[in-house]
Amino acid sequence: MALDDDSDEHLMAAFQRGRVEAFEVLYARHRVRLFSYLRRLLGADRGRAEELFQECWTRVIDAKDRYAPAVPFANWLYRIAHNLAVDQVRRNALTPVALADPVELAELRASDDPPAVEALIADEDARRLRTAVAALPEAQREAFLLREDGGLDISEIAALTGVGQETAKSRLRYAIKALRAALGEDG
Amino acid sequence: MDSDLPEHDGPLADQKVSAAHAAGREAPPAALDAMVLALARVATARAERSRRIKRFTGAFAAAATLALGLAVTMQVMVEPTPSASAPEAAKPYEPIAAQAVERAADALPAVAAESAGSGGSGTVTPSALDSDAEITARTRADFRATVDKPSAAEALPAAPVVVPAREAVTATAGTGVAEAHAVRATESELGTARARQAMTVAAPAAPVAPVAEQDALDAVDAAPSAKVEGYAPSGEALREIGRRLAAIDALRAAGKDTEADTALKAFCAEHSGHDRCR
Repeated sequence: MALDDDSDEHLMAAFQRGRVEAFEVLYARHRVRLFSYLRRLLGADRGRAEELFQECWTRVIDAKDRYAPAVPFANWLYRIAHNLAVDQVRRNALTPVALADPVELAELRASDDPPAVEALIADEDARRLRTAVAALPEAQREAFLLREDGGLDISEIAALTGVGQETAKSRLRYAIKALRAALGEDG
Repeated sequence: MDSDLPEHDGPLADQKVSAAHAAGREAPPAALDAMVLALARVATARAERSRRIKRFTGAFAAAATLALGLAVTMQVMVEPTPSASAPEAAKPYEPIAAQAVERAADALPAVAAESAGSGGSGTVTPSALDSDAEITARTRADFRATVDKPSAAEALPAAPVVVPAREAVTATAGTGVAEAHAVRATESELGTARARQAMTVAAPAAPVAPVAEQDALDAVDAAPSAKVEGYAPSGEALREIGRRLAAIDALRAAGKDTEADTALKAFCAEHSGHDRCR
């Protein structure tokens, strides 16, 4: 079976046996989501997100022999990222992401090219959401990002953040509600 | 995953929020990708080297144990039977000794070549790094010369089996331990006294191995420095060179060429003989 089809856990096991190409597949699979998770969790400072991203993967590499395949890899990866980010967040205040320029948006909406308009509106939604995510209370933001970027379920989010499942679920619910409002869907 | 929340989360799911979130994801810069993948490759290569050395150490320890056992057995057999000559008593054990030698010899070359090529002792020629075959042949010759000697008394102690193997690793690591043991083995006498000497030589094999492994690993990083004639840093200097070159490579991998060039220039101001500076 090609490595691309392997589960994360199988890939880690292969990496533990010395197959660096398994790590490359694993990395390609998680790089964007993990980076986005850190980027959004830490606010506007891209440099800090980059540093933590590298540190996180360095720890994965260094600790690979201690990884137990019974634990979902994503859970393990985001636990490392979470711990690094928590340390970082405690040291630094979060900075909200800037909103898009209103003039630029008006120009974009006036465009005659429908696909371009759709793409730009989607882009604007993404920007607006990013700002709204940055403005969420820390616990809600973390729960939302672990769900959306880490793909973790409620029980995993609860375990990772050290709260009960109902608490994790509430945090997620409040986060989604706030983000819906930010996208103009409040209801 | 971009799918909705699990079914039991029901009201928590929101496709538009998920879609907008996914659309806003950012990828890490290419330099960061290169850095992480380089780290993984380096870690994997180091782990493989470590595995090879441990395999060798295990095989070597087994061979040393067998040899030691053989020496003790033969001592027991020879001493209580004054009528039997040592060579005659030893003959049945020659194949076993040869087997032990083969096991050690099979495991040794890769490590010996790597360790020798590292320049750790400053006594190995730079070309050794590119000549595994030469090292292998020489190492095997050392072993065979021991076994092929016509007198079984010569094969009796099995100490010479141990000593070359220890020399190959520990002398490279620059510990001086192997040299001392080799001298003691050479000065030893035949028969029982030599068998006892063999035990003395074989006994400390295990504690020495980790030292050799660490030094060999560190020195391998600085191996290119051994290729320049007349330029032979050793010990801590080698490790420092390895660390600095790794840092320069990391900068390069991260796309920070200007910083890498500056760091290399500073390095070469101190190590003009290094091949990275030529």
